[in-house]
Parts: sequence; structure tokens; C-alpha cells
Amino acid sequence: MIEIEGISKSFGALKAIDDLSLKLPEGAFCTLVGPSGCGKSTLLRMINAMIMPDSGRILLRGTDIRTLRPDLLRRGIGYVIQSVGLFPHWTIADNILTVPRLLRWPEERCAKRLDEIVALTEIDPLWLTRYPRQLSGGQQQRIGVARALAADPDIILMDEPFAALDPPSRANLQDEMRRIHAQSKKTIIFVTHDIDEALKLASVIVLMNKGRIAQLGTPREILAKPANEFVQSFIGGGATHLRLLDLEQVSTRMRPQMAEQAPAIFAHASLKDALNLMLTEGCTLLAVQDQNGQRIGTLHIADLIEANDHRGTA
Amino acid sequence: MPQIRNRVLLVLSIAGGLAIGFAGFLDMAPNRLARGVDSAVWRLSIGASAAIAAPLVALFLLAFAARPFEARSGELNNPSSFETPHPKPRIALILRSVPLGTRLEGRGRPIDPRSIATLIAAAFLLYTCLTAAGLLAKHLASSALPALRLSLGAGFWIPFACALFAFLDALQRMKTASGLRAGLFALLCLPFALLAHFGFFDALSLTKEFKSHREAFMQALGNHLLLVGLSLIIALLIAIPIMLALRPRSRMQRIAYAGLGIIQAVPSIALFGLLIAPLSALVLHLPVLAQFGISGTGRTPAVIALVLYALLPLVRNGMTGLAAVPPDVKDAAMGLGFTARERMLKIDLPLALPALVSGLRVVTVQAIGLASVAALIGAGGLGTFVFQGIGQYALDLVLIGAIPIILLALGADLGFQLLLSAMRART
Repeated sequence: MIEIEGISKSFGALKAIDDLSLKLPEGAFCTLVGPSGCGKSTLLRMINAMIMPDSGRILLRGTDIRTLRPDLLRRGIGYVIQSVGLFPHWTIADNILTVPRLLRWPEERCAKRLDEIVALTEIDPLWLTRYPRQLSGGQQQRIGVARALAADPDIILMDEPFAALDPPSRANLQDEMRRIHAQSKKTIIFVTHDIDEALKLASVIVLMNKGRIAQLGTPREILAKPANEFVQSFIGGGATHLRLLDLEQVSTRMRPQMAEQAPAIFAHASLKDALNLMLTEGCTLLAVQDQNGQRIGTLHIADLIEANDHRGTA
Repeated sequence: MPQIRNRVLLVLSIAGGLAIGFAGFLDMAPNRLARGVDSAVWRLSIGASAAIAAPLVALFLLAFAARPFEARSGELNNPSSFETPHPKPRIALILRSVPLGTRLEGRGRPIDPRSIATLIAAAFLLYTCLTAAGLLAKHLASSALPALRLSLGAGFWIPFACALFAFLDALQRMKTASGLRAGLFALLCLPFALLAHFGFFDALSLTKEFKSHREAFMQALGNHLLLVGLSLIIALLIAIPIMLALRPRSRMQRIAYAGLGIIQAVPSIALFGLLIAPLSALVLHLPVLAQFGISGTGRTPAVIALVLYALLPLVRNGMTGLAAVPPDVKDAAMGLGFTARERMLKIDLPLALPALVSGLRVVTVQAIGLASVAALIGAGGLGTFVFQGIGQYALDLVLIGAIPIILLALGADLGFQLLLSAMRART
């Protein structure tokens, strides 16, 4: 649904984007990741026409964005930036309803949508009448996300949205984005310089270097088969296998047998968590339980290794 | 040697003390033209001079007073102080138990009781000066010629001004809500208005002069306000488009600032005078203009000059405000799909408004002062009395013009302060 065809962009002598092409399917959670200056933010800002490419074109749902009025295009695309940029003279409710009001939705529809957004992004309704400066950084960015979602756009652009937050707030908002993506099936393009964040969130990772795509693939593909030395060094070689374990849930390697005595782990926990629990408890066998605490199977340490071997040779 | 804690109060109280000792309180002249004889207040009445001296002494002592609450943190660290209270902080404890002290609390910090004491002493001084002037004048007038002129001398004005400045200084130091400050100031003025209304000051020549010029005064006041109001509105209508048209840090901006800066540097009388010739020529060639009340002298050049003086502060403050809109806010607005116009109207201008209003504050106070000079080119206004008074060597007439100009400027300043703090409270 997003087709980027041979775009280039230079700022003076600096070539920010160099003949880059990319096709993203609808509903993808795509992270653009790479070192600073690799052109990832420039690429993101070209999708909503904040920056115009020197050459090449960008198609959204088959339409060249150059043919659209920029403000109308942008109202159909969610936009979240690192410094949040809430409007300090508006209440939180007014901030969230920015785009619906630009689109001149009737007030009833705005009120209804506000309730939905508050529920979806788990905002405390008490905040709505407050002003941005009364909220913490993490709370402000939650409002930033809510504002981007307010008019129900099918594409959301996020430019290092959580980079300035403290680790607990960041982890919390990352989980939130995963949940929102799973629920809404929106296409999300998410710029980050943090490979762990990229691996955690993405369905597709676009690893960029010097204005070009260094590798494109699922987190698993990138980890298991780095395309070149740059990718290898960027993902930080050493702990590849532990990271792979982190990407997979216990349920995928679970055996149906029951074990009553073993320590229990949730089916949706990662294999890395399972390994950690085994190391903590000093055991080789875990009981797997579902969300209600019902035991549904077991996981053996051999399953972890087998899983990795399987992928290593595949 | 005790430590000086408030230099302002020290200077004010010493100046006040010198004035009551050596300067003439009331000036007596047999008629309007004759030279008068002035007498210090202690020559006129021992009681009155004692009543004026007492609050001055209080202000002098307050200049050395330490903040009584400073003992508080020490008290908490020292458990013995709960059993044997120190004799010293008793005044503080009493003041704190007064409901006023608790209600007046500022941002987390209780109000300094010294400020309250200063307010009370200053208000007392103000009214002893006023009542002494009223009573003494009445006393002297009853025994003498009907044409006798009793005008207030430096021995009155200096302690009176000291009282006013001490009051305003204490209000500033209180750091409380400006609404409360304005209320306290209004409270100070209320008894004066009542006294004046019931003829308490009738024996003074200032009052007589005012009464005989009442109609002209009201007209001049109206004219003054019209000059200021009209020029501010026109200045805003010109300044806002300039502000929006200039790009920050551009060549055009530098040129505009330089041009407007040159106007600021031209003395007001010169600018008023300079406008007369071209305007007269213009009206001569286009007689149609005269039908709209435009002429080489009078209101037209006055308003033009006031507008020219107002432009630079307005444009510069407004542009500073626009430049201070955070870049991430601008970026977010653009990325969410605001058009340039929507962003300007809904984001940039509202955020720059406090800066623009503080520019308007400067310009208003400035225009109130400058409009008095406009009387020289026949524009009317309160300056008429000032220049008429100077011409006739009638100080009272000068004061009839000058006092309202000062009050208007102070009032406008206070009004804008209130507006600004109300705006800042929101964001």
C-alpha cells in the first residue's frame, strides 16, 4: 500500500537518501532503523510530504502523494515525534481532537471518538481537562500517540517517539503500540536508532545505512542471517541467539504433556523468559499455563536448543 | 551597626524625614499671582508633624527588620524549642495566627510579615499627609482673605510620594496573585476618593483650580484617552501584518527594525513638529482630506506620531513571541495537517499573544506619557493643563494635568499586569 520508487534527496552536499525503493504491505509494523544520519527520519518525513524528494515518487494506495494537497494528505496520516509537540495552550482533550477538528467533524462525533481513543490508549479521563505541562514525559507521549490515532488514519508515522523517555515508560508504551497495532491493523512506520526496540516491535525491519537499505526482513531473518558486516555490527553480533529466543513465544515450542511439580510460565511469555526462569529455578522443565492459570503443557530445555538449531540450519 | 535589609525603605524614609524637617508643607499666597510664603509642617502644627513622623520612623525601622520566619526551620530541628518557646519569634507566631496571614499565602511561601507592616505604615503615612493637608488648609483658610491660595509644597509631596512608593514596593515584594495586589491598591485609594468627594480638600488651591476647570478637565481626559486608544488600535492594525510578513532573522527584519528604531530615537516634540509641514502640504493639495478632519496640526499628526512610536515595541515583542513558539510544536502542527493559515491563527498567534500583550503594555504606558506632549501641536489632552500651567506659572494647573497622567500610566500598567498573569496562569 506504500510504494516508494527510486527516491533520492540531498541536503547541500550531503546525500540523505540515495535511490531508495521500498514496498510496504498494508497492516505492516515497519521499523526504520540505523545509525544517526542514515536517512531514516528523512525517509519518514517524505511519506507525509514534510520533505519533498529530489527524484523518484511515493505512492499511497496507488496515488502519487505529489498530486495531493499536503495538509489534506497529512490529516489522513498519524504523526508522532520524539519531542511530542503537544499544543501547550490547549487541554489534553483538545490536543487529542486536533485532527478531527481540522477535518471539521461534528462535535458529537468528536466526543464519541474521544471516548474511544481514551479507552484504546488507556488514558486516565482525569487528564482530559488538564494542560500538557501538568503531565510527565511518558504521559505526554501517550497523548501524542492518542492524537495521532484520533482521526483513525490507516497509516501512522512515528519518529523516535519513545527515545527521550525513561526505560519503564518506554517499555510500557512499546507494549501499548504492539497491542494497538494488533487491535487496529494499522500500517505503522516507526523510526528508531535502538535495534532492540526495532526487534521488539517490528513485523518488518528496514535497516538503513548512508541513505540506502542495508537489509530488509523480519526480525528473525535479520538476526539469523545478517546480510553484511554493517548489519552484523549494528545488531551487535554476540547475543544473537538470546535475541532470537526473545522473539518467540513459549506456546510455539510447548509439548502437550502435563507436569504438575515444575515451576509455571505463561504461554505468551518469550522463550528468553523461559530460559531465564530455568536458570533462576535451576530446573530443566517448566509447566506452561494459559492466561487463566490453567496448565496446558510443558517446556523442556531441549526445546529451546532444538528451536534454535532448527532455525540455524534452515 | 544593624544590617540594612531594604534599601528602598531606608532611602524613602530618610527623604521623607528630611522633607518634613526642611521643606515647606503648605504655601500661602495672598492671590494667584503673588509669591507665597511656605512653612514647614512643624511650624504649622506639632501634632500633624508627629503624626507624619511616626510612620516614617516605622518605615525606617522596617528597613532593618529581618524576616521573622527565618527562625522556623531551626525550631523544627531543635526539639527543646517546643517546651521553651523563644521569646523572639512571638510576633511572627501572632501574625501567623491572624487569618489574613494564612489567607494571603503566596506560592507555597507565607507572606513576609514585614511587607504587611510596610503596607500598613505606608497607608498610615499617606493618610496622615492627606488629613494634615486638608485640616491645616481648612484652618488657615477660615482665618484669612478669600483670595488666599494654599498650595501643597515639597514638605507634603515628598512624604506623600514616599508613602506611595513604599506601598507599591511592599506590594511588589509580596509576590502574591496580582488580583490581590490590585485589590489592596484599590483599598488604599478608596478613602481618598471619599474624602475628596465630601469636600475635605476644598480649602486647597489645587482643589479650587480643579473645580473651576472641571469641564475642561473632563474634555481633556476624554481627548487624551481617545488619542491613546486610537493610536494603539491603528498601531496594532499595522504592526500585526508587519509581524506576519517579516521572516525571523531575515534581511527585511533587520531593515524594518533599523527604520523603526530611528523613529524611536527622534525626540517626541521634534517628531510632532516634523509632521506638521508635510501634512499641511498634503491637505493643501487634497482638500478632500480636510473633510475627514485631517489637518497639519491637532489630532492627526499626534496620532501618526504615537503610532510610529508604538510600532517598534509591538513588532519586536510580537516577533520575539512568534520566534519563541517551540519548534516541535510547529513541526507537530505541520505534520498533523494544519495549513499555514490555520497554524498561524490557532497555534503561533495564541502562543505569541503574551509577548505581544507585554509589548502593548510598554506601548500604552509610553503613549499615555507622549500624548501629553501632543498638546503642544494642538491635539488637546491632559498635557494642555501642564503647558498652560507652565505658561502661567501656576503649579496647581500643572498638577491637574500631571497627576491624572501618572495615574493613567500606573493604572494601565497594573491592568496589563493583571491581564498577563491571567494569561500565564492558563499555559
